[in-house]
Amino acid sequence: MEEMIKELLLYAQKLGAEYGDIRYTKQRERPLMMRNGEIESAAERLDSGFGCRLIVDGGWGFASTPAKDFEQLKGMVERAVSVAKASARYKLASVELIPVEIVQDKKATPVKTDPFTLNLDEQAQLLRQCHEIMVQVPEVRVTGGNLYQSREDKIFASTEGSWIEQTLTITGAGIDCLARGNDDVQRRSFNLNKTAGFEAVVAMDLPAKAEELAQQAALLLTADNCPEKTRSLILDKTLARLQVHESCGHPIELDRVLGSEDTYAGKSFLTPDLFGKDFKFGSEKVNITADATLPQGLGSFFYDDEGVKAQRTTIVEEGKFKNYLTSRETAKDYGGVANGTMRAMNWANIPLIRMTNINLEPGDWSLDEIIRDTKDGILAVTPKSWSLDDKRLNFHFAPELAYEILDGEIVRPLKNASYTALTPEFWASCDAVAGREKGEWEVLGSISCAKGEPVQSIGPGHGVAPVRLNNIKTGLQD
Amino acid sequence: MIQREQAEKILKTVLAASTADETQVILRSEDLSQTRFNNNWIHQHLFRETYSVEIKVVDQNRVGMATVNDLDEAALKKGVADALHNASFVKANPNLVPMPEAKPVLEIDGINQNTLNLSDMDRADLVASMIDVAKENSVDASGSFANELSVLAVANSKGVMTYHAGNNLRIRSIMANGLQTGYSEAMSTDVEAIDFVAVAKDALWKSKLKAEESITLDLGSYDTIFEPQAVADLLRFPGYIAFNGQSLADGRSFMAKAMGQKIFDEKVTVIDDAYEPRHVPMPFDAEGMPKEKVVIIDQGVAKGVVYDHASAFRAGKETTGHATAGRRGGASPGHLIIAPGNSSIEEMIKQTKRGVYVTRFHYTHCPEPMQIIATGTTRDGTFLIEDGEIVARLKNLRFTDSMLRVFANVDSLSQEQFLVKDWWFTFTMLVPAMKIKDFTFTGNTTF
Repeated sequence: MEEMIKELLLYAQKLGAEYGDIRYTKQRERPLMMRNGEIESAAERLDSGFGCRLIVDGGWGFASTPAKDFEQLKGMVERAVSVAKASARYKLASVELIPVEIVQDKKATPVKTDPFTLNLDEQAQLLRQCHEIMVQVPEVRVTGGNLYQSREDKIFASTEGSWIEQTLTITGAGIDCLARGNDDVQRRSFNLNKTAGFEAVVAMDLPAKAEELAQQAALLLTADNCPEKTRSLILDKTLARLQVHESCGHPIELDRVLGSEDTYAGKSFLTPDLFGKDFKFGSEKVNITADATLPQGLGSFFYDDEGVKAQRTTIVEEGKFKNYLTSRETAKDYGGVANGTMRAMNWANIPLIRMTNINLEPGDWSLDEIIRDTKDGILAVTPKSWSLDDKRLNFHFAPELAYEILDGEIVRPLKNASYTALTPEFWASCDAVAGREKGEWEVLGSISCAKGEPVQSIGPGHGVAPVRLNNIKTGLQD
Repeated sequence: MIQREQAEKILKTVLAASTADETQVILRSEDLSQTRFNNNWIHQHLFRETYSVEIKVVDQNRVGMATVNDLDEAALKKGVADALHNASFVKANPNLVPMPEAKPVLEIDGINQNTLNLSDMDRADLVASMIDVAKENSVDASGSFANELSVLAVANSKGVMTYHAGNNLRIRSIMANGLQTGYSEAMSTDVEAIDFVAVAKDALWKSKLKAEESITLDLGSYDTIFEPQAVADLLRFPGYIAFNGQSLADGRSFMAKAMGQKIFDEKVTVIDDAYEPRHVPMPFDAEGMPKEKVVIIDQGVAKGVVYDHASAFRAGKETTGHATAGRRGGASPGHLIIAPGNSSIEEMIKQTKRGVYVTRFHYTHCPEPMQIIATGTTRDGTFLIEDGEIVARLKNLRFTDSMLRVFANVDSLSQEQFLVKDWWFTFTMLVPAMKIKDFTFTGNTTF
């Protein structure tokens, strides 16, 4: 393999490539799906191929193929050259990449219990057990569950001389239930994925979660609708994950900031003129980092897909905006450091600037203290719906479940809650971040964040804890 | 492109290797050429070749699946072995629906030679013609041009053996006049049917019109005119939430209690028709079952939903040929069409006393699926209409409204229909422009 890839890189240079990299990835996925206690399917997915990224005459070209034959792979290189030459015909300036350390390395995700060695039936039994627990609640009419395991072997090689091999393992699980009654339908769900072995699923304690979700789904059927009101808002950590993802993580992607994702994903309110100015992103309680080195984060790896080492970067410090997520092409005018965020969904796709683990650093509160300290607010639990404008300023989120808090006490559950705000005002109102108690701050992750054309779905992680915001418009219609 | 003979050989290799009671195999391939541009230059440019073989076995009522992307015999046989191995671990499900028997499938020639022959340089030249429009008008062009050639072939052990190849293109254009933007798009199976410069100019006028200032609209309900791509986002919600048999059976669809009742305005007729030549035609679904034309809403009255084989079987009906591939499967209306009206966008504007013009939406979502209460923001050209004329550019708006109410409040539909996708790329739809009475805006943005 090594000899063949190096020969292909030489071939690319012979055809005029000023720079080139080739990625080979081989991914094995094993999803297990349950519906109403029946395992709908156990599946195995094997996917492998090569992607070739080149600069020719100052223009970008990319081609990819699942073929393994050397002559066909030469054809892939030739096609990448053809694409690059077409790009170069209408270039404004030649593409330049900032220098990067040349690396030869081999790394793998630490795994205690290899999920691929486990008996599928035993794994399925965990989901059936969750179903049995959930249907003990009479209002629960539909249950679901899934287990997910992925192992990706990646090779990155460049004309500059880097050769990097990585093995990344992801393990995850989810359960959900639908309750019907009182002329209503309500859903509760849980889903979590980590770069780890099956020990991560064991630590989730799914049976306990199943009982909690079923009871909450039934409770929602008779809960009052969330009234329209401006009040304090406490996000549980699952909702904090999505809020950080959407309103902190996406706006700091420098390719988006510079407009390259405009037709689909949009741009960012963190415009280039705000860089280096300590723009007030949030209150002094808000500290955000990008850290691909965290254990078990979905955005944890060793090198990105242009061979840059995984690293930790300060994004927001005591509320002040400090850094974007960058690539070798974009970093030049924005700090000069490629901070290792270029990732592709697989061999078939171009690497893009993607979130690694974007974290709201832990604060010095506990969730109990935040609730006791809240005079009038809601605690919002688990994302149900979310929508943001194309600069990530105005947003509207809805949780599956909310609790009303008055004078430091939870007084009633609420359904059909929602909240809306503008991003900098929202984070400027943050006065409490939990994380003092064990387990309150956790790296959570979801495997489906879409970006790019063609769309690439990839999994970022987010270290988060419950957080309180103030003077937030909450309620169904607004 | 994988030709029919090669596809059938692959499908037969899988079927022959399987010892299961029932076996289904889906071969999909795609050659995608995509050019993305921004700030008047091509910044991303690719050719992507992908293929996969999805194998599903049912053995003693146990389902196992495997997907491989190697097409040689050994890899295919390993895929079958993996699927059988997976099935052996799964508890038997006595309620499984047997796989469908073969039905006659119509042959459709889905390959357009003009589109097939487009080179990397041709694509760049067409994009450059749009960038030239931008440069001539001192604005910045960005956008995306995708040329897709796809193959779907399906077989099962009960005699299904189908193959279809087709291609299409989609061009999307944003013109940025400083902070003011305009958008347009076009989609077709034939590159000769798309006027790229016209698409650029359609985006251009929206970036230039009333560009000196954008104003903030008082929140509330307004008569609102939607361009076709915005209509697609509105229809997407009932499309994926409510228009399929499984949602009906689960009680997750408003259609469950509405069949035969008038739920939308009588001007609204929604069908799913995979044979419509202006669409991207497709003769069969991911189970190899022939596509049926399904009337979903007939002059405002709820008439039907789409089914795959299993959801139809459980409902005591025949499949409508709308099965999707993948782990979750299920049925989906992939060829939605809203019947045309007798108006035009120009006429709609003329007939509006005070209202809003929406070019497109961004990141729509549905917080409440039973009433289909949806939310999202406008982008790339939102305007205020007064006394039959566009009088001002509006800062972008957030809407929150029930799609049941929206489609019950249709004022007019354009005679011309357009092939578009929703923002999420969920569906390709053939829809007219649409004017809605009292559409609810619940939030403002600052730009």
